Amino acid sequence: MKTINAICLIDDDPITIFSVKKLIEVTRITENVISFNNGIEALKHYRNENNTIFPELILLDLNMPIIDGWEFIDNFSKLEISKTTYIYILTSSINPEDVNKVKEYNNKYPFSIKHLIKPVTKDKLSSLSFHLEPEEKK
Amino acid sequence: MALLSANGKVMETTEPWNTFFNNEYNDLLPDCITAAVKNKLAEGEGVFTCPEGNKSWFQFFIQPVDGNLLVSVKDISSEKNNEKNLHFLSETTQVANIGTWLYASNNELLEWSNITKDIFEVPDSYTPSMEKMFAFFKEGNHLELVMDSINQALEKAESFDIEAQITSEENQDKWIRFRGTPKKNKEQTTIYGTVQDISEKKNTQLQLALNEKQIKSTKRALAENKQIFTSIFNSTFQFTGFLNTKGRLIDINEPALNFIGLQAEDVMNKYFWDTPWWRESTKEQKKLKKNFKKAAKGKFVRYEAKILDKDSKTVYIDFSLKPVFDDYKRVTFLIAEGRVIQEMVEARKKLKESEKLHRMLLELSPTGLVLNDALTGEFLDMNNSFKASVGYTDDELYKMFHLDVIPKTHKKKELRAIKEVLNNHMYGPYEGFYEHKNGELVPALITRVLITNSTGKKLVWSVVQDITHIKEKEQELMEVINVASEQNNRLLNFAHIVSHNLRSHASNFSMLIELLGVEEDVFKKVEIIDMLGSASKNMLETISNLNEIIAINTNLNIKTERVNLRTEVEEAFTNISELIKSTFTEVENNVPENIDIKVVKAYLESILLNIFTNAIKYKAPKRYPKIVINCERVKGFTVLSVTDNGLGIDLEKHGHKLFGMYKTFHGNTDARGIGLFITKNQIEAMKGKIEAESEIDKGTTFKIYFNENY
Repeated sequence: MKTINAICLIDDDPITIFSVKKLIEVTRITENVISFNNGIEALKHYRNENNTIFPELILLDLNMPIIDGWEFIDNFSKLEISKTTYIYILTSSINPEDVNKVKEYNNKYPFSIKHLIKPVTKDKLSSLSFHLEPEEKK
Repeated sequence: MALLSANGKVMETTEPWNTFFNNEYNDLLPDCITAAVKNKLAEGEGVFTCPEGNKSWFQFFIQPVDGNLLVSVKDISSEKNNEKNLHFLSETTQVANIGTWLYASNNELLEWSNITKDIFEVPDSYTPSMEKMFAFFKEGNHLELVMDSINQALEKAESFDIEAQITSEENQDKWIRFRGTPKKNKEQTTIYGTVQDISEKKNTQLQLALNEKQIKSTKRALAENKQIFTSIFNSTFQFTGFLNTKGRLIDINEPALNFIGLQAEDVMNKYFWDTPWWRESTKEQKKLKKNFKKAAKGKFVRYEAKILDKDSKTVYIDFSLKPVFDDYKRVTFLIAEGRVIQEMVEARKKLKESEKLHRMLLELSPTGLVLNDALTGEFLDMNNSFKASVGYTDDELYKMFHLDVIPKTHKKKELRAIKEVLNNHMYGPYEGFYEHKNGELVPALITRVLITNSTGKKLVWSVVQDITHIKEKEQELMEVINVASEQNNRLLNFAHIVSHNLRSHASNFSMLIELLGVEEDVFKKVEIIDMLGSASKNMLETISNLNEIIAINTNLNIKTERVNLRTEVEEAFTNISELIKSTFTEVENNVPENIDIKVVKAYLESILLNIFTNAIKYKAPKRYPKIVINCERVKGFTVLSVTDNGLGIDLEKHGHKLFGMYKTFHGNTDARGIGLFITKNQIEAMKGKIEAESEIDKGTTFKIYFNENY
């Protein structure tokens, strides 16, 4: 099984953070999990040049105070590290508007943006590591 | 006989002498004989008149016998009388221009009188003969007739009286009447005859005959003419009749008779107005009588009359009465004429009806219809709908021009439209504007059509559909659509919220339970179970919020009442007085005392509480919060505005989410993202609305619109 260098988890729901972190531990797809309660904190973290570990995978909640998931992506795209990152939108939403927006953002930015429908399970996390093989982007 | 002496003395007389002279000349001689003896004449004639007055003609001969003279007397009275007759005849014939002739058969002598010679145009010295005379007669019938007649006279002593043609010596063709009466003696026949020039009479006769012929042909022509006339009279489609001056029918043609199915004798000599044609109505009869009187006085009358046909059906005719005058300008008779114009009348009737119908449709049409002169723009006709749309009366409009009722701002566009109409004969439908008398704009859907009337004048018919109401309705509809789409959005949003939020909770449960399964550490299991407990609590809260929103939107348990706005604001402040005090918040209630609004009181309390606590909760860190409450009225709404001096919010970025569910903006840990969503739902449930104005780091103003009609 391929391991991921680091996973970044951004969600304002403590239960989600707790659960997903635990599941990541259990599946052992990475040794390195970092979590934020909102996008601003995450951006702050990655703007700091001392933090040299860039996560290959970001699990991102959409509905958050101050800046929502989309705004986070807009800002995150401006960072150097973003190019090799995969972003999974962590959502329970089946709102078609959100589905369309994911596609739109995927086309808009060089990194891959996909859905990860809640609930997160061990199996879903395990399969993620396979999907992280570098894809040819258009 | 008497014997005389040489000196003329009577010596002796014979008995016949004495008897002849009635014994007067027994011893002397009559004077005539005495004179003849003296003059030694051998013969002579004399006349003896006897005492009774009778005259006796005598002829005497004197012969010398032995120295004596013998006188013999011959009675020639009868001859003399003939001679006298002849003389008389000659005289009279001369006067009557009748020539005489005489032919004696024994010596074949023919004698002509001078007049006869004149007729044959020969000189007086001419000596006629039978042969020569025949030569004058025209060969053929004429000559034969003459020769036959003369032969008959000679042989059978028959008189003749013929007319024949001669050619005179001077080569003149003449007609003569040629008569002869034979007298037969013992051995000879004498024919006495007359000749009369009858050329003139003959010519006259011929002329007459000719005239007669002409008259005959004229008569024939007349007869033909009459026939032609009659056939025309009877075969024309027109009804024609003749009336005498009393109004009685003198003649009538067949078409008229056939039309009513009668014979001439049925109507002849009847008063025209009493005839069956006119029994359509007494009104028609009276009308005819009246007009006949006019016509009888010499006036030509013509009018449309209604008459009956043989099926007693009313038929319209073009009827006229024409008086005919004599030389003295008196009316002698009248010509009545009629022509069926049923089709014309019916067509006219139909036209009238259709005109009436069109007029009615025009008037009843809810669409404005208006006729303008294409070039001057003058108003020529319009219906009520149009008048209603522009607010002018007919009289006003007839003095106005098209552009007078077009708003100034649209004149250019209208001029272009008119140009289009003139070029393409039609323009529209297009949306244009008229200007009402009161100055208001009247939106209209207009179609203009160019027509040319019978006099070549160009006119524009316009169909003007006043769409003011449609526009208003459109506006209303747009509002309704807005409300509906807003509600629809809200509903959709709500559905997503429900699914999203419940799924969030459910997925949390699912994840925690999965963890519980894989976790072996008991302490960690306890931690997970705690988490499950809080997840369950969160879910209950969410469900309760959703319930609240559903309750608001379905207007359950709703109870409205009239409250004083200022008082309500004060009460809200009282309820959060602890918070106000602890945060050093300044409040300013500028709501006038007299403003009452109708609301669901619980909603109002919840709204005020939420807005006020928000104002304090999101205060700017470097200044004490201040809340200012104002109130104004805007178009059916009482507007309460709540202004704070707090953090403010970037409405460009977050405006669309401000009143959304579970949207938080400031990262405050107690922000649940439900307050403004509920507030908005409550305000909308009371038919109001809420708006926000904000500037980051300056503050926010919420405007709450309470509907006065709620």
